[in-house]
Amino acid sequence: MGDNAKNEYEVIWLQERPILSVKNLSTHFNMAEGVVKAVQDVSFDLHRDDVLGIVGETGSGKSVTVKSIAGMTDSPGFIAGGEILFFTDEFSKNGEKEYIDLVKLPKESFSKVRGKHIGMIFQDPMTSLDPMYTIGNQMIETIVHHKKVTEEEARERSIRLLEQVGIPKPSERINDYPFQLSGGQRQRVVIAIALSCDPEILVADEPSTALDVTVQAQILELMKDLQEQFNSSMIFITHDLAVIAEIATKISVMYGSYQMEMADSMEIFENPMNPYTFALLECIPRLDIKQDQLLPIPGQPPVMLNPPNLCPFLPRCSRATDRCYKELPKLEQLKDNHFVRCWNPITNRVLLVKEAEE
Amino acid sequence: MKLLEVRNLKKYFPIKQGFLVERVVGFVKAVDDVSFSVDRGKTIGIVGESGCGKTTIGKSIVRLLEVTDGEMLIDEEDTTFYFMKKRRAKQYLKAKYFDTARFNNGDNSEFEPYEKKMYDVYNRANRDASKAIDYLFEKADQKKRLLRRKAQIVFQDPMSSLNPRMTVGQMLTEPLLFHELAKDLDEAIEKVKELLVQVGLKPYHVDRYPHQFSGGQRQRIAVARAISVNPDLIVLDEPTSALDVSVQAQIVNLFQKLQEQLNAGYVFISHNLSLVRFISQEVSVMYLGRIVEQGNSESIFKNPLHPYTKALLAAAPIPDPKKKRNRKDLVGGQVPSPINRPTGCFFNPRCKYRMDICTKEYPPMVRVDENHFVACHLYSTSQEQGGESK
Repeated sequence: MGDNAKNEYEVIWLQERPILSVKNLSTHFNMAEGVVKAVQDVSFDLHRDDVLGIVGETGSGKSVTVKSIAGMTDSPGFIAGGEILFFTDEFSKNGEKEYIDLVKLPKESFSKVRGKHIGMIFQDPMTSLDPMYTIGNQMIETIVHHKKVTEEEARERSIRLLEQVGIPKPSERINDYPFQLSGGQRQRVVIAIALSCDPEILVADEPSTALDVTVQAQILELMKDLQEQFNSSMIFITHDLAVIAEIATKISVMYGSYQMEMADSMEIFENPMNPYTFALLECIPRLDIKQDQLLPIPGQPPVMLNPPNLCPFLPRCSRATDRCYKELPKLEQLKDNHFVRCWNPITNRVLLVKEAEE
Repeated sequence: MKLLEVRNLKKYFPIKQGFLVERVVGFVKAVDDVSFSVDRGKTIGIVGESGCGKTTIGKSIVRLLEVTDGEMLIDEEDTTFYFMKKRRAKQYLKAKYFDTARFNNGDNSEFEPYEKKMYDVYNRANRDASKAIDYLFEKADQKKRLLRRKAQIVFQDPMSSLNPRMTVGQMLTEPLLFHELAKDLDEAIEKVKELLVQVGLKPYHVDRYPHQFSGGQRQRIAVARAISVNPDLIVLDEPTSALDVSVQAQIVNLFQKLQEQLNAGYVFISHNLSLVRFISQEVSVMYLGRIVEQGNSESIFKNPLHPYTKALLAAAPIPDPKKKRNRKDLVGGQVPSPINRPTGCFFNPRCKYRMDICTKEYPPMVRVDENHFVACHLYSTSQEQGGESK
């Protein structure tokens, strides 16, 4: 009986374990002008069924974060520190799942993880598909490489996948070249390839940005449905707060290579505690309400070349204190599941909105 | 007096095929029969997905493209022919004004103001059409200059609209000197410094090159260049879509501040519905080269009528996780190719409310409210609907 109890406990424990745990990740680039610190001290846990949204402006380090996770930081980029723990049985000898540090994983072994356990979707489907091969070729290649199946089986699987992502007449379209498809359809194919090996994690880097609004809505709805169907976790990167509100369950706000704030989706939009998140929410035009004015953030986003070891938002922040000029705040948990990097966090949003309006 | 009036604007791009001997095999009807107007100090927003012709409209207004047909009136003066080749301009004028029997009737009570002006010219030339046309060409260079001064444009990507080899000073003094708004270079430089301050930059930026600025600052330079000649009309072609959100708000606020100062009319072209709602008083929604819904901004955003407008609004994500999108109005499919447009209403293959008539006839623009027009058979008069049911 004791054994049973232990097993039950273990099962729960296994389920509650994060599938991916990133700890203090830093990625830097060695440039002639100096070191570009693209990602600094990024930490998060990704659980099963989570959709983690990473939102940030150009150059905030959101893409480099996921490229580091997928082992795509080529020279001059390198991971300067931290751990990326991935829970998998791919490399274990006894078949049990264990945490593997992807940072230490050699480049050759990465192809067993990327594509199989981590599916990637990029912004521009025209550049992520090879124009010289039919979409069928590209899908079958991926499946045969990762799964022990014949080409015939892979082909059937591809057709099924194409159907799932909403491509009409998949058995005919599988022989098409990428240029024969429209932008939205191409992105659907990329999604199908990313899902082809049942990955535990789906990484989507601005998947809807290059598309028109009506098509963007279709792709977002599709990704939500598929994520539920395939029961995988997702990391979703975008610069668009509205898109992130739509899809993410948990949001990490990045600015100037640091995570400024991380919390559940609702919490971020209702109680932003970091001044940057607050300002960002105030400066976007809204479709659902009529606004009299936008409150812009003064100044420009930071340059990541040899930055000072201070809060990156400091030059533009209206709530800066003396302490901000002395040391960099840490990402601290201020509430349940609400992490903030700030010396002077906002505690009462309503009051601040009133002040700002006056 | 309307600042800009666009009537039945058409712009077709020929598709050519063949080696050595090129044949025109078809047309891309980028803009097809579009009419709208802008007042001083007001903004009209033009929204639509890529390929709907919104940029072509913008370029046609500032005459970077020659139009196929239609009139563009600025301050109630027909300016359409200013940049045409002389032969074509003559044909245009003759066909439009001096070939009709209307002028000869002598009854000018029904003429619109711009027609009256032409009528005066006609009389001045002793009712001789070719002489009248010559009159119109008398000060052609000045007229062109005036139009270039009156209408300016700001493009999407400031990195490609600013010359990388010119300093800000060189770039901004050029229009001032050309339009004789400054006597000499020294005065021009002083004016440029004022302009830079006006758009939120520093006077010492005058000697810098575009690559030395950030994206938002570059767009400010492009704006400074546009306003340097005190234009009455500014076409803003996706001016913030290359910028980050935090900078976008700065630029949008700058546009509003400048509009108050200059009392200029804006044509704001964008695919970002929230931005258009924020900045414009009037909105035109375009689909495949035509305007499907037009009118007061609030009225359109609160009460969209055309199924395409509804779909656009339903598709636009809202930055609030509590508000779920209205899945009912979403549409599937893609925008069809403008070369091969569907028959009838262009939206009919994607439309949920499709009726028989929709595949046959393009719906006329009907007025549903004081300032709200829609081109959809759902809102056509009951008489027509009765005809359709037979």
